[in-house]
Amino acid sequence: MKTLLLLGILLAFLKGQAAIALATEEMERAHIKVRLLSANAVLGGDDVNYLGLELSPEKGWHVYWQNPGDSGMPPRIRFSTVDGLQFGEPLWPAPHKIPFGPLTNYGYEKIVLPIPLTLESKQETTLTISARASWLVCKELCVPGKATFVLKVPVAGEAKESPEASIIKQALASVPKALPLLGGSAEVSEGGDVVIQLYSQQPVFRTAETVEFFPLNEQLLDASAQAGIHWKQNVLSIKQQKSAEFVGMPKKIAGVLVVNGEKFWAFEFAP
Amino acid sequence: MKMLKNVLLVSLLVCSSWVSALPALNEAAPKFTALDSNGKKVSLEQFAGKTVILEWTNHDCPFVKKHYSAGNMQGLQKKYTKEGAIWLSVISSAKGKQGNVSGAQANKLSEKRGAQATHVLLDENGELGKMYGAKTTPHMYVIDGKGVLRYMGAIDSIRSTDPDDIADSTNYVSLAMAELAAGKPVSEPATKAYGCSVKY
Repeated sequence: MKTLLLLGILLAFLKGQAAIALATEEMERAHIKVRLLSANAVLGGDDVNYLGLELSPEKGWHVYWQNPGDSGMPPRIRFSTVDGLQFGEPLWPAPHKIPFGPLTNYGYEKIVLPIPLTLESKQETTLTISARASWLVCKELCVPGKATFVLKVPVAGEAKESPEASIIKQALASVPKALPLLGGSAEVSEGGDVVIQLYSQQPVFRTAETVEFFPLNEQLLDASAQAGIHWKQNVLSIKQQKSAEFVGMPKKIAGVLVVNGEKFWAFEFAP
Repeated sequence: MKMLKNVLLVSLLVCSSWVSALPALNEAAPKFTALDSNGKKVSLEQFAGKTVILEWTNHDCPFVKKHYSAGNMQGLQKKYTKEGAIWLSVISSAKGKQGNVSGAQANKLSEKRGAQATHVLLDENGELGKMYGAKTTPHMYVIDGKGVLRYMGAIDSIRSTDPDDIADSTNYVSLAMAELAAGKPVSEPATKAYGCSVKY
């Protein structure tokens, strides 16, 4: 009986621990709420840890992908240096197109940007992470915003997930994975279209019913022009009007492909 | 025969609209006539022999505010109009949309901000904006004295709404103006414009 009681107390204690949220307060700014999350309640072990910058615009408002398209600006986050921690660059889930009159943007309605975090020292301690984030939130109008976040994260021998882990995992699932290529080519046609050909190592387009394409290069394609995309097995071709600001073929061509709305690939090649 | 004629006519129409839809670097800039804030007709041709700078603007856009609150845009206007260039600020915001102003309001804004454009062009039907493919505010174009488009794109190299970034940025309009004045080719003739969408 005594043992059971003790076990009960212990369980309640553990449960209580697991429920400790690792997220900052939601910062309410004009037309958006923003917070910083940690996928781990306790940092530790050798696995990559993740933070997440959660941007929740008001209904009808949006924020931008790393290539914002015809206008706009991607959100940005900068961390203060912390001994024993390395912050990676934010990862960008695949965006969608947001048309505005004759213009087209690439962005999101609500998004979590995962940020990889590497622990360099295993000493038990509590680390204070501080970050400054800024963004542009737009509907028809645009409003810039910024906020500062402070998150205290304990470090122990073993990592422990926080209740926010599922939010970050969900975001990671729509971050494009590198598509291994046999090669690629790009050229400008006489009609002023850029024609990109990709040769994947695997027949990743075999069961594709839809393929969406988002360029990472900013002075390559006209974001508002219709893309002609064709594929077969491991080959994909994209034909789209070149950008008005096109000045030459870039050294690296990169973009994101969304296959059947559920597979996210990132490609990059030197034409 | 008549059908062929029609087909030809249609393809000609399609071609001409397609060509005018895309201003091209180092080619003749699209010709236009527009009304300024004083109701005066302004055409590109009347400035033959002079460098013309086009600036798309919307006074309520945070990217435009960045450059006006810091006096950056007015400084450029003053410098280049003094040197003999023509500066045309263009407002393509449609009726009822952000940045749409009457001629009187535009003049009041210029006065309040100390703007020094040669003319403020009112383009609420978006014709001029679409002719030049203006996407953002600001969006800048430089046309040389021969009417050839020499620069199109951003005002400077740092995409932000923070006036503190201006000092650290490369101003592409200044760069193009300096190189043109020195008889050199423009080293950054086209850049990706940044800002708010033009409110067509």
